[in-house]
Amino acid sequence: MPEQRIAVPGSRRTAVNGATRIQPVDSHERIDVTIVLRRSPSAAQPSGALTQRVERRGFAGIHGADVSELALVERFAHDYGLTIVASHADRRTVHVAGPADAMKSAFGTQLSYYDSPVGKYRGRVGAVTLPESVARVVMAVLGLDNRPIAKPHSRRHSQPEAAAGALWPTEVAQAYSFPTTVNGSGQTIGIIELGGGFKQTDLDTYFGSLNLSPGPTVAAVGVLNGTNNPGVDTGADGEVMLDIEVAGAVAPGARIVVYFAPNTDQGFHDAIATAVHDDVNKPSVISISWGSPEANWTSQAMTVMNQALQDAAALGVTITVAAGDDGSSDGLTGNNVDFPASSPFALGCGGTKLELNASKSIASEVVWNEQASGSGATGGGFSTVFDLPDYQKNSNAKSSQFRGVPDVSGDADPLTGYRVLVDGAPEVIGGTSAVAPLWAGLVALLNQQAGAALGFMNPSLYANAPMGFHDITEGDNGSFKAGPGWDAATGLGTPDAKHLTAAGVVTT
Amino acid sequence: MTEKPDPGGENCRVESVISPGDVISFELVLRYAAAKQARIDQEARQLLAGVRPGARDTAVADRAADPADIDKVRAFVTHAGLTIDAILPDLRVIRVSGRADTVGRLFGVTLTHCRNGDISWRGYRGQLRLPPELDGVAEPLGLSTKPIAERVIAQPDSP
Repeated sequence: MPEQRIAVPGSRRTAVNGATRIQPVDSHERIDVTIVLRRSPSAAQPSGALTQRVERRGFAGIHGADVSELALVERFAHDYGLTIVASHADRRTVHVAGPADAMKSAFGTQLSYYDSPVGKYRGRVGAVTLPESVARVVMAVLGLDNRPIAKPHSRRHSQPEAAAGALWPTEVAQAYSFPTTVNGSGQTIGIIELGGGFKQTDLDTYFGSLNLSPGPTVAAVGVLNGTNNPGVDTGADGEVMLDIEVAGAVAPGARIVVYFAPNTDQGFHDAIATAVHDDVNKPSVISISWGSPEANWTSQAMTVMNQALQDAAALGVTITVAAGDDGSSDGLTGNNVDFPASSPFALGCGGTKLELNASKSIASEVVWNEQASGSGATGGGFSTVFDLPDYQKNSNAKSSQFRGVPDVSGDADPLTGYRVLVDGAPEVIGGTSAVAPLWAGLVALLNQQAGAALGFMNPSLYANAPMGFHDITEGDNGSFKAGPGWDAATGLGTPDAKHLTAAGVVTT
Repeated sequence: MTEKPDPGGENCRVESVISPGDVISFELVLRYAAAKQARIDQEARQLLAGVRPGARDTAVADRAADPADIDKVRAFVTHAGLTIDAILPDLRVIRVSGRADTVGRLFGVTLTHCRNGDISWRGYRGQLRLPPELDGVAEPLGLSTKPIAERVIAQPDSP
């Protein structure tokens, strides 16, 4: 009697909005799939959970899959006529290939071609099922469905003036009581970009409209073959402009340096390393609004990236990183967090929905979750790679043995998004992409106020919370609910900036 | 030879093998200087516990590549017939270029042109293997140029 099959948690999928099923996938079409296993339940944990010890050596032994469970999955794949392309204990993955018919049988799903507003794709609806013994050890099955990696940025608001809840970055800063006696003068904010570009004329117009003329000085630095290249990829331009305009509006006296690099692991690493070691521009804070689920990274790329972030902490540079816009799944099946936001040396930035009253103070603020309408939700959850850092051990994150994400949050819901100017057109854009530069701008102000770079501030933020924060206690991002204290949807909360320095929450 | 995970093989539809004579660029990221590893580990523990770091200049010097490691990698790369394009000691990065067949042979892979939908990149077939001369000294980065990150902005639906 065949073993009972059960659904892989979190694997249920619906068709892309507006998609039309065209026909079943050809039974002989070769499909490549990656099966992601759970971390070995018997893996020894390093005493003291020393992150940097974990990342360098013994990665597979500490974070890898159990060898017997890897073998179980390989046997399962073999039994269904699939070819084992590669197995990686350290990545906890088994890469299998085979014809569509075998895939459908193995994973208990139907596969069809769809035509959709985001393009043609091979997809499935419903859950992936596996024999119970296999499902017990599998966290995700990737690749059956190859819908375009969401370009969530294609939903441009055709009438941004009709976005009633949209906010100027300066309004958000005011609501969060950012200091008004400083403007970021003497500080440099670094911004990492892996595509797109900016036009100085747009920046002049934008900052002029906020009466911030002449506005911050903005310069571009090319890393590898990266360049400031506006007008080619308008989606990426939206990211670049959002980042510059939010950070610049919040800290108009700061100098902004944008590090453009290719969107590869090498480019991403080198952009961060270059910015951290930039002795000409000397950024005291770096904003990163790009990332990818931990499962998408190789261990070696993650290791060197994390070292670059660790170096930043040692060199006194703050790194703010967006936590992702796809809720607790991060766009995959099950619960996932985004890297580099999940690095223990990053200030992971989650998202809220912020509504202001007539006096521009906070009327309500809840977790950003508009997944029902397709407008995203804040990322957040627990790493499967990095151990619980010391600074989270007295927070609610201690319910897990792993690094909790995010650390902090800010307004991100696109329905209460930020008014920006992109390629000459007004736009309303949200996402945790806006929160990383918002916090970077705040850090620049705090640095100026303190007269020195605050650098890696996570430990002091956690040690003094809830002082300095608006604790968000309503809403969820899918799997994780907000509540008193730290939570995996909004972290410690949104800034109550006047208390961050006044009470010595962050000090040099 | 030490096996390394295959980055970005998923969804790679191999269109063709990269011509053996094509020149490709990648980099080697060096370890922290072995003599300073313990101190760096200790400092990382302290940072996570809330201890403020020391002087920036000292941190930069501590975290720079060991000149002996640079010499070792340079000798290996040059002997293998590759070209050193840049050495960035503070970043612990050595940028390298060379013929695709030479690079592939060194790392035990076949470099390929990959495509998935509108996205194309350089990938490879086979299990990446680190030559013993580099094992524990340097990690390759950029042999695959698969896009790694997504921007995380969201825009409201049009009314």
